[in-house]
Amino acid sequence: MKWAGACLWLLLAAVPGVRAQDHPHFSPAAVPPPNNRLIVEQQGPLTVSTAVPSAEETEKVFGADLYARNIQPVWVRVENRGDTTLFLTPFGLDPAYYSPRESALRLRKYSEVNISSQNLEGLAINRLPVAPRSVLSGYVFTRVDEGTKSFNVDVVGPQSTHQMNFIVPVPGLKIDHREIDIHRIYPEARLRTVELSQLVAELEQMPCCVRDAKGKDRGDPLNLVFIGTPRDLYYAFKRAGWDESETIYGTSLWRTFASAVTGGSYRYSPVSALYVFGRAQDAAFQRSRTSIHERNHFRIWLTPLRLGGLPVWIGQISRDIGVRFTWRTITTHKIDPDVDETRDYLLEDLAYAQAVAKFGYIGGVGAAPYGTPRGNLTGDPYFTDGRRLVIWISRGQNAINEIEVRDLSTYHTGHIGD
Amino acid sequence: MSCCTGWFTQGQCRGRWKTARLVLGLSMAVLAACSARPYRSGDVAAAPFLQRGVTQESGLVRVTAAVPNAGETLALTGLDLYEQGIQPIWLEIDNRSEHALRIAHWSIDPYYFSAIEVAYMNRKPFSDSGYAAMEKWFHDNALTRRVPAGERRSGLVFTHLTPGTKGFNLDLFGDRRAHQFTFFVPLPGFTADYMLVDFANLYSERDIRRFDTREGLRTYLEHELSCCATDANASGDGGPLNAVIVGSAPTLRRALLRGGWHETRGDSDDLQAARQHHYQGRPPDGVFYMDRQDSQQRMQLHLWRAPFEVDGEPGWLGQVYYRHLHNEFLRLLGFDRSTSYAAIRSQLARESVAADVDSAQRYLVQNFWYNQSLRALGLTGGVGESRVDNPRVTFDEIAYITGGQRAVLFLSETPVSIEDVELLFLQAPPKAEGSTP
Repeated sequence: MKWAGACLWLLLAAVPGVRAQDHPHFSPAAVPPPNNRLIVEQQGPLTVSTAVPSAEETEKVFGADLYARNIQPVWVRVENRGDTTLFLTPFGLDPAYYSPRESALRLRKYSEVNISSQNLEGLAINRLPVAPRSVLSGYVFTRVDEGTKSFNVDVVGPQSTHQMNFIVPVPGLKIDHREIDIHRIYPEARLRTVELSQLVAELEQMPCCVRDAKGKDRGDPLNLVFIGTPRDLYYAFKRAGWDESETIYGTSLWRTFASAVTGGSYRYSPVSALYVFGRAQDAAFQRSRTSIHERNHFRIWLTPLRLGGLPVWIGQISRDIGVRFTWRTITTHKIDPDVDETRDYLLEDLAYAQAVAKFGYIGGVGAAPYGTPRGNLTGDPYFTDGRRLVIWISRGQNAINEIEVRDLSTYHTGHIGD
Repeated sequence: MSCCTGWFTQGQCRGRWKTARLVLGLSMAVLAACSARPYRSGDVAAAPFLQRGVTQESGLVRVTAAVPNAGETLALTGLDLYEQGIQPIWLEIDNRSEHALRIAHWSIDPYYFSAIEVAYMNRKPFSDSGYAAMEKWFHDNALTRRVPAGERRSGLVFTHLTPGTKGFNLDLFGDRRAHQFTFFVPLPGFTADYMLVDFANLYSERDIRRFDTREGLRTYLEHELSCCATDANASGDGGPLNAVIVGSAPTLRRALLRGGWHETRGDSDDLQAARQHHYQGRPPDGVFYMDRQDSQQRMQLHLWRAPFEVDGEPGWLGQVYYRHLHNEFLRLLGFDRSTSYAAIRSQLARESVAADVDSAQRYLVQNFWYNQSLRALGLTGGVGESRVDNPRVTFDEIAYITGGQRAVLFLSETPVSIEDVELLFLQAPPKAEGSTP
């Protein structure tokens, strides 16, 4: 016992003197969560309300910039009007959520004010059980999602389980697809409903690849097709953990540049414009792995086709595996030349988000074997079996053993798009 | 040349340029030599580590998995991938069914490295032809995704390195069907601490308490089992025994590996402080840890085989808590040499992550719950409350606070979805720990 105490003193002796009273203690004001954006769900005897404060609102509540330390508090209120104890599991919101004290420690290092664990604990949810006829409310400290926050609130009881999925907009980010009116891309007269055989034929006629702004040079292959409403696509991508992309404006470019220099992760960095049908992508999503050099991103364009009343989209995906130097642009991301690997990764990613109803393959891209690869707009080689992956997005959750594999080979035309 | 004016004479300038050219030439030669390495790799089919392959079957599908250790990976790929946090797994899928299947690489590691990505990360020392050879080797030896009916495929998948036994899932799926596997592949040169324990002789038959009701277990946990571990001399407060687990040793190990807990080497000096904690005169039978993502804390779990069984299944006692990986915490709290020892201890109880054992316990419960390892869970008393204004302090000077509950976790051998977990001991709901707004 004594040796441990001695160690503690030795440790302290090595520490330069900073006294607690150098900084004022922060006392949290009784600031309510952003009630004008409360989202309320009710299931049986259970009512769950949630709200996600923006970075600025968070600073008002906690007196510190939590977002800067990758902490996003989510306010949750669970009202249990039933006769049995229920369990609220913060793990459902984020399996890597921070405890209040972990949050305080992260803040303490950078904050001007002296953040107290006790204060954060006072505002947090600190237990799992929600007793009968009681209310449990407070903050769960999750990792930051800007733009749109997607999370589950799981409340488990002996007789029933309530799993609620919340998708909550967070102010502060300019998302690219929010600036595009999806209903105005095509005039009504140009929209065409087709049968599956005709869909395959028309998709195989579509361009093989993306183009540059002048529509001249060919780039990465258009190897994805999605069938589903914008809402279903959006929920599927968010559920699978893909981040939206910011539109390119001053601040976002600066943040992207900073993360490229430092190797840090800026999850919403703008994606450069590539062109199909004479226009830049309608939306782009990305998923960071470790740093900006290691991320996957895909772009999608709405086609004028409809299948069974559902919009059809065409897309392109690539996996950044590093940075290389070029004469024209100084640096560019090196993409994995095995574009089929990246394409099939996306299928699995969406399948594990339980978002795939069925899938199949069509042609249209044109094969480029490993030994004779084609090049994209930045001169990166790629090889492919020449197929497009067609994914029907499920409206509800579809487990991996319920996914239908469609053999579309009977509809193949053998045509390769220009 | 503009440098040849002002500061230097013509002769000096010529001399300097000569030297510069020489240095430049030498540098280019060194660089060229450095980047002129040819690529050398091994033959996967003849690799000795395949002898350690572990095989599982599901219906007419047979899967064999083998994992090379650091040296074997270097011999096979010519690269020190373990140093880069990359661990290859070799898989062979023999699909004797009538249905085509796909190998879901995502199921093994959602953030796996693609084969060419690994090659590209290691391109620098190689000449152009050396890199081309390396890229082709990785491409040729990567595991493909499709396994047609009646065929066999094998190859490498590049995952993130995990220390100790390699535990991973593998899903194969086809048209409205899936085969799911969970593998645990031991690595040579790594002996986990629990492998050195003689579990059969820890207790005599008459020392083992046997419960056939959960209420009987609850009474024992609340009134008979000691609250806490001890120090090596069987005295002092060794921290609360705040987790009780019921399940066979293989089931417990599977739950831990599935939850992302790492084993500890039996012959290592790491986590020696953890081994100072004792129960019935012995250090933990197993110490597991998990570094918190994006954080400066580590979560530790000390486990002892308990002297009881429930319905014939062995019980385990655990203590779970956070530890700081860096000691700057003390500085951040604003202490200096004039701060009194009592004040430091009080402040640590109020502020430190390590003091908050209940948050660690909640995390453990949810970790097992969401990795589908639980069939039942409950909370009982037995630890006793430790309040922030008068905290209990362990023999190694960690002040801690707790509401006094034990988490009781019954494990399942097969995955259980979160809504199917039975909730126990709900009749006396646990007391709230502090207020919420």
